[in-house]
Amino acid sequence: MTFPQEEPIMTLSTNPLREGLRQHLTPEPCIMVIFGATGDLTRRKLVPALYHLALENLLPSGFSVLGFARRPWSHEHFREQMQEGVSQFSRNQPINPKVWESFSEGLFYLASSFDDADGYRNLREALEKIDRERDTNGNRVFYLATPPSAYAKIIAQIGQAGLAGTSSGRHGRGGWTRIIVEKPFGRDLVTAQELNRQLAEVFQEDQIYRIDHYLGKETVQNILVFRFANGIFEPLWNRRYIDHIQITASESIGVEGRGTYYEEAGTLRDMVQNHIFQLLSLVAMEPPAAFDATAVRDEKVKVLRAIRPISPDEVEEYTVRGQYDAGSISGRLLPRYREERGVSADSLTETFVALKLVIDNWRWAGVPFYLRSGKALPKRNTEIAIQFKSVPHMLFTNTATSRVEPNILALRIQPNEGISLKFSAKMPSPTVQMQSVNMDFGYGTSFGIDPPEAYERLLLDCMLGDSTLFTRRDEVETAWALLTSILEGWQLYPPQDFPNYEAGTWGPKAAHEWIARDGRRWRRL
Amino acid sequence: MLTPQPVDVQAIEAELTRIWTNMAESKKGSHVVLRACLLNLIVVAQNQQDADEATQVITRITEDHPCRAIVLFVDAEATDGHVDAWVTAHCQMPNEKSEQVCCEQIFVRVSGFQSTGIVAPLLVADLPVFVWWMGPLALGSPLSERLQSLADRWVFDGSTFDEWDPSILYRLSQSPSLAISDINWSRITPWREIIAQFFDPPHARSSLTQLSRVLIESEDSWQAWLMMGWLSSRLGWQSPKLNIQQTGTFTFHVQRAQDGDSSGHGDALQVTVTCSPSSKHGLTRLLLQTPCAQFEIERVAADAVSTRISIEGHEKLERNVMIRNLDLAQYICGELEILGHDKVFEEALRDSVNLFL
Ligand SMILES: NC(=O)c1ccc[n+]([C@@H]2O[C@H](COP(=O)([O-])OP(=O)(O)OC[C@H]3O[C@@H](n4cnc5c(N)ncnc54)[C@H](OP(=O)(O)O)[C@@H]3O)[C@@H](O)[C@H]2O)c1
Repeated sequence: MTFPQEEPIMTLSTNPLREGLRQHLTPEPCIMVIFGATGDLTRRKLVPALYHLALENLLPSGFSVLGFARRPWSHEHFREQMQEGVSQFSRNQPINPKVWESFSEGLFYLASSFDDADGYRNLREALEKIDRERDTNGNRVFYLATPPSAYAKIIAQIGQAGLAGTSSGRHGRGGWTRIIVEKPFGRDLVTAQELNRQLAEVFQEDQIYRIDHYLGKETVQNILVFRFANGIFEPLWNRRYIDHIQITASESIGVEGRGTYYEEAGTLRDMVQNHIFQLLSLVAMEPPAAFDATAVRDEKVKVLRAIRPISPDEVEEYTVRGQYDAGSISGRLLPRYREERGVSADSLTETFVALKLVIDNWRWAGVPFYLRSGKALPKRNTEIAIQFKSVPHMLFTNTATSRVEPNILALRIQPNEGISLKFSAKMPSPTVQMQSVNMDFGYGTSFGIDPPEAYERLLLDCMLGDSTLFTRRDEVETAWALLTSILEGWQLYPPQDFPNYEAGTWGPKAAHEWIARDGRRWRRL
Repeated sequence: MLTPQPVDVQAIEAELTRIWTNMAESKKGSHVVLRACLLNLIVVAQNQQDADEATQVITRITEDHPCRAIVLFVDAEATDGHVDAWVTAHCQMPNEKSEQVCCEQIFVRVSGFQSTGIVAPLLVADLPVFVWWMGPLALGSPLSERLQSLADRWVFDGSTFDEWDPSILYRLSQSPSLAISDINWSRITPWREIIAQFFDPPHARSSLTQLSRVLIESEDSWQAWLMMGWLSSRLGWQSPKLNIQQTGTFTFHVQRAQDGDSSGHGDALQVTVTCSPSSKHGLTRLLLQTPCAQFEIERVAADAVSTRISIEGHEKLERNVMIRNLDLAQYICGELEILGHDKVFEEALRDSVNLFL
């Protein structure tokens, strides 16, 4: 279906009706092709996120999904399966039958193996048919929701089938193509570079959207707003006032049946390379000149480049590894990691890691960044804590509390998203007695609304062609370069004491001793 | 909510301080009590029912917008010279571990005569002042004049007006220091979103300059005029002429701003507005037509519309879209989030004034 154009046409460069509306733009009608549509990610995250966007009326009319996987499903069966997924995983229950009816009319399925060229010919025909029937105008998003081993095959086949398109389509008149790549993006520098090379053979960089769902989280985006929309913090955000920064991402579960995957990954690959490095670059970056994809990502990459590399020989000094032993968390018994399904009995895979990073630039010289992440820790918690320097001269020495606790600004990412500031105050009494008080701001309680799921925001941004919240090629490669060297060091010096922490504790003793050597301690969370 | 305490108006501040101190003492050792305040909200109620509703709405608003709320109940039956005042605190405890956040409400019942001097001394300094005037506006009355001089934003609900006169509101909106907002305008926002969405794809945008017929149907006439005013101001329609008027149906001929023919004699566009007053819903149907395409929204349920796009009389793309119906407290919360002038609303108001000149 196309819009016939008679009359001399005034082409409007913007939509005049959008002015003053909160939502800036709906994406152009498009088709999202999900490779791996029968898998877990699709039913658990992707389709519920898309349905939710439909519920909020954020999707264009005609928006369609074309699922691609091996199982011989019909369109109808695919719709039923997706409906089940949405009923189970959507944050809005129950399903709204009216919205679901319209949404599911746009769900289609194509059965094919990833390496079958015929499948991609059929794909092309199916896409053209949907374009005709639903006015999607040649716009496509390819989503790689498959095991990483399939990425290369699919990318090459898309290229061979002539489906790779361009980022802006036909002279700006629609017909763009984009591709979203799931994590993990490679498993070290070489494999990440190889994947980037494969992608670059078929797509231009501005068509490629490497997803890191942490960046889709409202609270992660809030780090930038907090830093750059408030005048009072930025002047303090540097080595003069900050003693050190701690970033924690803890999980209170074990590997939960995904042992086979985890054996290949480990905490450094699974959490640090992507999520924690994102948090680090957002807190440490310089103010970007604009809030757009190039400016923001340029600044983030600069931070990563300024991190002093840790050579394989320095791993003992700058890192601590751990692996959990059996234990219990909130009354739940957890087996030892080495006894999980799919895990080898003498596994050396780390389930805990602590890292000390140093950023060599003017802002951060001498301010260490301590990162820690792990499984089977007491709580699920992600936060960034900025610990300020103590006052230069202590006035209140002859008091009951001559030790004054430092000011700490904590940015909580999950759960209970919010910000808190700890400072000292005099307790009401005739003598000087000080106590730390916490000033707390919770997003949930202050705005009273559910923040959207990370995937919702990211899928929408990709359809709108905004890659600010996606990872750029140089970003991934810089992060991998730093971590690959650590991985090499770990190979060189295998751990001797695994398992070295009990499930339900805050990691190995060594991690506490290690930070204590710097005269600091982990925040109790 | 604590039991409201009767108080002498002049002692209100002192009484509030006493309440806070008591609260802090009674909570010693357990939760911290935070007295929070982001804004002043003055609610003017003109009957008992509105006054009760105001109190309920405030309890809900304070969850998201800690404020000092002052309900001014201007009671025609109150004897001159007699002022009743109560103060109370609303507290929220979001979860076990967090502090209790409390904010305060002052309720004043007063005769019309004395109402003007009550509010100013009670405002918390240096915080924005919102006035929510319930029921018909009495612009020009001494109370209204006084509050206009204090307020940053003036909130009202056009659906509660008996008479529709946008010109007064437009004049009010032109005050540089006071911004106004109409809850009825917020009610049509979901419709504006959907209409805007039709024209987001660049290839569909040209239809906006080729419209030949527009239909607006509504059960609330104020919403219909705001809708027309909005389309007209956004799309630059000019010189509206009221052609036919039957009961409840008005047909206008307007000049499209961007007609291909620059002499201004291009085809006029015909806009028909049908109002069938009933308190049920607001807008019920909207149709935008060009010689070859048609965009339509129709209410199918209290919380849903169906949208259709047809090109050259066939190939319909139809879908259901939810329209979220907010309650009064949610609308008011929305209004408290904006401070400046809403230029788009003011321009819509201006164009709806022009319809009947
Ligand atoms: N699950 C999550 O919550 C989650 C979270 C973050 C990231 N991820 C990432 O997302 C990706 C997908 O994860 P997942 O959990 O959805 O995996 P999954 O459940 O194992 O699904 C794999 C999908 O790929 C299809 N597939 C595999 N080999 C194929 C072939 N040769 N030809 C055609 N189809 C083939 C499967 O289809 P058939 O079974 O029909 O053959 C299935 O649809 C992974 O990269 C994972 O790391 C997942």
